Amino acid sequence: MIRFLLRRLLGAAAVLLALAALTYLLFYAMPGDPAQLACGKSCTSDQLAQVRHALGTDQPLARQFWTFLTTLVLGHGFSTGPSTVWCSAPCLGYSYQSNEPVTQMLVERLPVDVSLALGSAALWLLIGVGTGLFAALRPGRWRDRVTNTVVLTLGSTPVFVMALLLLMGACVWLQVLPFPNYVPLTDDPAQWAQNLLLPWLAIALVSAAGYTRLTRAGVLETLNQDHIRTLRAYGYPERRIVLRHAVRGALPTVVTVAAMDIGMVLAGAVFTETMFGLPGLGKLAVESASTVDLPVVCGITLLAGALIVVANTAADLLHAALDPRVRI
Amino acid sequence: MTLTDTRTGTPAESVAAPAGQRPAGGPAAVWARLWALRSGRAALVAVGLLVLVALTAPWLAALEGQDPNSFHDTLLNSASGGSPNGAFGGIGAQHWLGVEPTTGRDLFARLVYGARVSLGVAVGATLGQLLLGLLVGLAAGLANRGRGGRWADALLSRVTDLALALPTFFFSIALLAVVPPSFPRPLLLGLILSGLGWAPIARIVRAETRVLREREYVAAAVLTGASTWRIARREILPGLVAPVATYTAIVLPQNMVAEAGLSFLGLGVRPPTSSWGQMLSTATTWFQVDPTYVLVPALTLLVCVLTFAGLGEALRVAFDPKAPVPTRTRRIRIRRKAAKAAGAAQAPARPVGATTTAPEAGHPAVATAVPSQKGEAR
Repeated sequence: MIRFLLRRLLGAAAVLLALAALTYLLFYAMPGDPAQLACGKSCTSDQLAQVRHALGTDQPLARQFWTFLTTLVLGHGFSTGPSTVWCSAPCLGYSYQSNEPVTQMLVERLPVDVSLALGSAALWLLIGVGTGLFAALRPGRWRDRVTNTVVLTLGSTPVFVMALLLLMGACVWLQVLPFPNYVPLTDDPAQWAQNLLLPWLAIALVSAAGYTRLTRAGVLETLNQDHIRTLRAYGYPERRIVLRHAVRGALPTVVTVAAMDIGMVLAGAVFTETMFGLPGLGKLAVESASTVDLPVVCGITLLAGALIVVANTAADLLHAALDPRVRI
Repeated sequence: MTLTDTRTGTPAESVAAPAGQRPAGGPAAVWARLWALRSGRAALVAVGLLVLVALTAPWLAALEGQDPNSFHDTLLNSASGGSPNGAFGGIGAQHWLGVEPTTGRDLFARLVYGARVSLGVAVGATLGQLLLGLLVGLAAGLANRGRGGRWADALLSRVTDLALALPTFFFSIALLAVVPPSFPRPLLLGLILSGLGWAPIARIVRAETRVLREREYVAAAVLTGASTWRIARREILPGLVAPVATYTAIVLPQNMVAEAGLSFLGLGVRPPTSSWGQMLSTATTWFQVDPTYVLVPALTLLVCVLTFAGLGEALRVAFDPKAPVPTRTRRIRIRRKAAKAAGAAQAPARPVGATTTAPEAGHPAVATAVPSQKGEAR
């Protein structure tokens, strides 16, 4: 177990390092002047020189990457004309466009994504596992087929189309909900949930399809095994066999995939945030991409990669914990 | 470090064991089976129509008597901020799907021209992904025969793992931001999507290649002194058609959605070129006043994606030699058999998703590959 754990963690660390190198190379070693890009379009030559010095673009490439890594671990001072801003420990750089350390900008946005990820995960697990069980109780019959069709349709819908349809349905035609406007959980929990309901639904409806299939397949596979036959021989009611015992067969896969999906949403639900105007990482990524605020884009890419790698590793560990066969 | 292998509980290689099974009769038989499936026939016809619409966009627009870029101020109601006059966004004999708010450009013309961008980028990106994935996968799968080969395989596999772990969507956003606007956008989109999305195909191809390599007919080819290139082309590649074709039908609509999504965010195709994603993004500000304007591109995109999803599903069944496909001569008997098989609890005959952990359901390689494919950006 310890060896398995170590191997997985080492692997994750290696991927993260490679990811950092790749991100760095893509954005700072591109042809063109990264200082000009980082500084933005309305940048005086004075500022430009400062940025160039701060980025150290006159240094050799390997050295620049080393500085980038040490900055990430140790922090770095960025001079902004008269004063120097200290960017502390996990420093992803400094945005000369919004005059803020990138890490700080990301941390400010993170609560939105945490709210989105947890709420929608709860919903998609509920919908996905529920419909999966519903389909598995009578495989091949009409409700199995109807569930499959509905789920395939929902699952193929692009999330921005889903969000748009939900917005039109709930806010314009039925007028049951106001147009979403993010309220932090700490301010007003009821308002928080009400405003996030549509974004949660949009993500959950699109994502639930995979869980329906996983649950259905896992349950049907388990139903073929000997212990289920024994339970049937003892005369257990079928419903109880499925809900109590066969579900366990689907559990490891469902939990594993859920962990990875949560990682993906945490890293920024670009479309959902843009569509509903939620101030999260995804929206920040799009905004910074359109203003070419390179340090922010680079920071988000790196954070997203890290979150996904961490989520994948967590998923592997969870799977190993739930399914003893994986451990070897 | 295989991030994804543990998810199904078994390494991809061992699950993909019965690879290379091809329905007897080659491509013609597969077409026949595809056509024999009701869903396959419907999907083929719909895809054919879409391609036809994209190819004949200028003539279709001419038939309507409009073009995608001319403004029609007279059709707009300046009092309400430029929404179209008339019901349902100005639908009528002149403008079949209405006109765009604030500009009055014809929606039907923009929609059919948008099909060119959507389909062009999606097909281009998919071809690029296929090419890269086949090259890397075949190289890795065939490499570890020779001395240095094992290292080459390990290196290529790690690169594939890394590419799988990339936050693809953020990378494409970032790349679109960095590349100067003078670079042609549709080409750039295709390049970015294929450069970031080849890894799942490479993984499938490598796993299948390693299985096929052990077959007697490949050993026979090796004995005759055939070169590695010839073996890859003549012996391995035909066996890869089924899994790769099936996976392609899954990837193509994903690329279509990715293009629409990036254009929706304002990072994809630039105006005045029309694209469905771009139409949707301007429509978001109008959905209260002019719902038709939202529904036209949204439903078009949805129908296209669903069509491709159906085609993928039908392809999977058509390539699976065990799946029941009604044939013309023995339709009744086989239908009854199919109903029986579908009723059985074990290995449902036609599961809607390929995402099963039971290796006997669906094509083995795709069944293992689909759970490892990355979720789309939300």
